[in-house]
Amino acid sequence: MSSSRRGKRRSTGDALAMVFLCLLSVVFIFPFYWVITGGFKDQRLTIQLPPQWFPVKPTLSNYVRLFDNSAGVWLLNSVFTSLTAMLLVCGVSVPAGYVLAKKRFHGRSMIFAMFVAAMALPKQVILVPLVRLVSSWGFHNTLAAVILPAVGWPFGIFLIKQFSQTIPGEILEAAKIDGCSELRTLMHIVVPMVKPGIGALAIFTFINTWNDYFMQLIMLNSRSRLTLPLGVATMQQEFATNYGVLMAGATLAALPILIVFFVFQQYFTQGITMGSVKG
Amino acid sequence: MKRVVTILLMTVLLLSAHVAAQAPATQLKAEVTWWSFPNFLTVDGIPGKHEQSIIKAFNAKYPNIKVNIEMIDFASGPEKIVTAIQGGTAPDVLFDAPGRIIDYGKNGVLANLNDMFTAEFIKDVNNKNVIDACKVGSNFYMYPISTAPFLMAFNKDMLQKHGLLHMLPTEGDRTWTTSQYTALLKALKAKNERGAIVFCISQGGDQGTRAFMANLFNSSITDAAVTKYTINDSNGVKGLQYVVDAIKDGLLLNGSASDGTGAIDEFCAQRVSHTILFSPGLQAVKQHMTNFEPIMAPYPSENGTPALEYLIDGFCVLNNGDANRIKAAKLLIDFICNDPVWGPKNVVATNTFPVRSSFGNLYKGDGTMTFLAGLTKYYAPYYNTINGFAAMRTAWFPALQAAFSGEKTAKKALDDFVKAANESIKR
Repeated sequence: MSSSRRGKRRSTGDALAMVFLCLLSVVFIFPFYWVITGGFKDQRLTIQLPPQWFPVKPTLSNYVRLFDNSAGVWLLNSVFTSLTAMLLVCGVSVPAGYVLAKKRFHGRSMIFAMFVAAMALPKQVILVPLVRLVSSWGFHNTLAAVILPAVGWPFGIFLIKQFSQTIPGEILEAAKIDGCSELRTLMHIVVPMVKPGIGALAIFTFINTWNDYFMQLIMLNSRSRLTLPLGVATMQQEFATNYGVLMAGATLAALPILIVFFVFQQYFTQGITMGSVKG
Repeated sequence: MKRVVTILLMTVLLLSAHVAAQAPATQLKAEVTWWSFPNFLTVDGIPGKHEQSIIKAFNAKYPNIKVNIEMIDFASGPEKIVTAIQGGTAPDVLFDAPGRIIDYGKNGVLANLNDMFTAEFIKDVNNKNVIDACKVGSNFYMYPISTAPFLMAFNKDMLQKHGLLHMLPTEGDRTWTTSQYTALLKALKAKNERGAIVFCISQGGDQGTRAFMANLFNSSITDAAVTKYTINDSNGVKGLQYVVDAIKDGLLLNGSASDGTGAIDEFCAQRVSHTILFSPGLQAVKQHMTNFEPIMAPYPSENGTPALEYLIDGFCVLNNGDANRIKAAKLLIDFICNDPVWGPKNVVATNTFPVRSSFGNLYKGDGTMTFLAGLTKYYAPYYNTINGFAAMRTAWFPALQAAFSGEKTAKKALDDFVKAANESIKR
């Protein structure tokens, strides 16, 4: 087979693949499109058949209704809890994961096994004791009640441990010989080397906390302390759903996640590929 | 001198204790938390706004009782309540319906409201079904405020457009027979309009499907004393077979993939001619979501006398072990339900009907509401407080799915359901 024919066949294959991928991306993007445009439609139009594919007379009434209902406060609460949990989880997981990966001490394997076992526990199992504990600390119905239980996330420690194992021992020894303290080694050697892992963990934690509807539902009660998904849920009646408001709320709720994803995207993809072959 | 001072101090202490004990309820100092499902219609589209105005009025009378209102939603609220009870973070007052409240009462987490069920109140309610729905044994756990029947609703504009409105009873109590209903279904099909969705993907709105099928041939879901399920009698089987056949004939729609909300949304979007679950409260909520006039009717029955399921809204007090808070919670409930101004106002805010007959007709001049208020005489025994009610519900929709798919005959599906449901009573 001549190389020109092979090249032609390849370009046809590429074109077909491109068409297929474009169609696939439409399938994935369409729900987002529908939710975003639905937020600008009147309730009657959101359930109309044939559907109105694009809001002909866009309205901001759904957003007005949302913000009349303290959606701004709910959004801030969601952002605050997710960001704080993200920072704290990274802050705890990095040293813990590093120590478990690189330090030799008695019970190390046991501790790691306990973390792995904790990952298998469904949240529902620990919920009631957790509520009692948080309540005894006086944190129930505060944002801390959602943030603090997220901090010792076993998955975060597991992830960073796997990344830390890729750090060559020689570098750490060299740092020690040069007189680096443990903290300095952690901050100046370990952290830069596991940056992709931290990026991936940051995204996972942010999304996980943002979407942890169940924990937020159980821990938060006051209207001023609700997160965005919880607040939007209170606007639903038993057999009546205002899809316009719901879609406006979903759009608002998706925005911060998209922003965080784009900011950490580079680390995220690096993190996934590195984590898949190392450790 | 020391002794005199001590005696004086003791006297002052005793006197103040006596004064405190004699202090009117208006001086009671407490902080209570009230969790409310969105049972009241929203004001300005803001859930909880009506509740805030109640609290403001309540505080004018009881300035030392601080009330925190927290709204919960129907989808996740029940789970939240159960976890809060187990986790020790339950509210003091809950506005819900007897199904769940009586379950909490049976589990011993509620304070009894026996002192609120005065002879005057029971006489004023004058409805044994409603009173019985509020108690477990001899203890009352729910204080009812309002009630409303569950009905069907048709798209009046659609019927008018096709000249079929005369086939639906529109006068008096609008009661009708199954054969009249069948005639209307056939006429709608001839005009290429779709019948109601008999939804059964989940428990959502399942009271509608049970009432619909039980009424078609005058079966009953339970016996009159509400001790066992009886919908598998020959009339109940005829009712389910009627629905199976109607689905096959294209008169009704198989709702194995729909829940109550979805089916009602289809009705509101005018994609089906009617819904087998509707209520006055829903009509008020859906008003701004529909482009047509819905018209409600009781379920059709063979003899033309329906047995209606109904909603009862009411309050319970969770026993958090603080007598002061329980007392304050009862005062709040009493104010919401019985205050001469706020009692009727709160009933209207649910768009349902008062359980107190002394409130009279709160919807004077509104023909639809007057018609609906007259339906209380068709109320069937209230079975939502039966033991194992929640477990029974998990057996109902699979029974319908099995019958609709042909996996089981109507008789087998109902026999299996009744067996499972009766077992749930014993558990």
